[in-house]
Amino acid sequence: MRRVLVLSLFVLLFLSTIPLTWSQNGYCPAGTTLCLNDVFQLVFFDNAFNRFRTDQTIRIVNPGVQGNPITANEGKVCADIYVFNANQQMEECCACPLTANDLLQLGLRSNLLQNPMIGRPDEGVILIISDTGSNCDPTSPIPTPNLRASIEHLEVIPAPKVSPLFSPGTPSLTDTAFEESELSTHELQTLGSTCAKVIGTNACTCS
Amino acid sequence: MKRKTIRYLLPLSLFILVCVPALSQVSPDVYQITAFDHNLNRNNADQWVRIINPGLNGENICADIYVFDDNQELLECCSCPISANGLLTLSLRNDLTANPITSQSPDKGVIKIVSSSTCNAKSPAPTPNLRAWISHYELIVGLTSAGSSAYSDASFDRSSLSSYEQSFLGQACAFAQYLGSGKGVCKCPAAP
Repeated sequence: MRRVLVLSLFVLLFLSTIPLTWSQNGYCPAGTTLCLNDVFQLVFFDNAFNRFRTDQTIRIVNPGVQGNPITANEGKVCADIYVFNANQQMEECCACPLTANDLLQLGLRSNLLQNPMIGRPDEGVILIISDTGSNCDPTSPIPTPNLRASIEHLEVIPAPKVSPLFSPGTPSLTDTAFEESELSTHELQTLGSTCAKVIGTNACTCS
Repeated sequence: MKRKTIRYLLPLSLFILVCVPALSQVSPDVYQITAFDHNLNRNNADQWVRIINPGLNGENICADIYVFDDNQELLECCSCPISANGLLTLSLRNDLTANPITSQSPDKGVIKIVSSSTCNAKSPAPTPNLRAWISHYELIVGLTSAGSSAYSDASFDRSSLSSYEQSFLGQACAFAQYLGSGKGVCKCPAAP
């Protein structure tokens, strides 16, 4: 009897910790078998083909969690990049390797939108999966922590109303970090399979 | 000794089992907020709210949007669907503050977004995990006589959503839309 009681107590204690663990790790939707943190990030872009012909820069850094410059693989992690237009259609995808402490700079127009699948989107979404250095394949990513990324956003300040001449306004650049999100298996598979159809003809470039 | 241990452990375990889930009933990753300012600036410069559905569950998610003035009054609310990997761009002036229940567009205030599965801002059903940004229009006063200006993008801040706040937002939205007779409803722009 006592054994049963003690066992029940342990079961109760175990069950009581589940909600805490769950909320600390975030939310995994029902049906997913995998819920990964710190491997997936996203941001919007806008005014890509602005009248000032200003390119907007995406910067990605490898913090060195997977190794350092003197380890065998130099801590290599790949940024699997997926570019969507505002209509949820993938325009380009590619994988760019970064060794530990590396900084990769990409031009929105010159690297990520130079070869779009459908058209030249002025606005859209960029998704990045942090992929293992040995895989480096955006059609079948193997997520691993933990790249960090930011983007320059160009906004146009309208000319004052009192201006007698036409003015296109003034460009204003502002830096924004990508936002992290959990990555579901469904999204992981969707991104990979869609990229597989796009990458042959519409790959983005890393330099 | 064992009996004593059991006597104390049993209520403790029951307490943890019952109370911990109750305390953690705030929904994770479903609620975010930001401030806006200079909405009525003299340059007619608009500001934009951008929302992305990261595609966590591969389905449409709705952004239940609640716009408050700086007096904590709900001015407008609405619900905008976003499909997986979709981007929704809203104009602060034209979509979020052009139809306030008070007929007075605010210069500053607060925007709250609940990531929801049912597309009904009057009764939000929180589900993860939209991401949102706002472009702030800032005025730099004093450098020139007219002052200069710049944009600064910022992501919304995520907060836990209590059941009280969830209920309040829904009720305030229903109230505003009922009293407003067409006012108090913000606008979701059509897909591009």
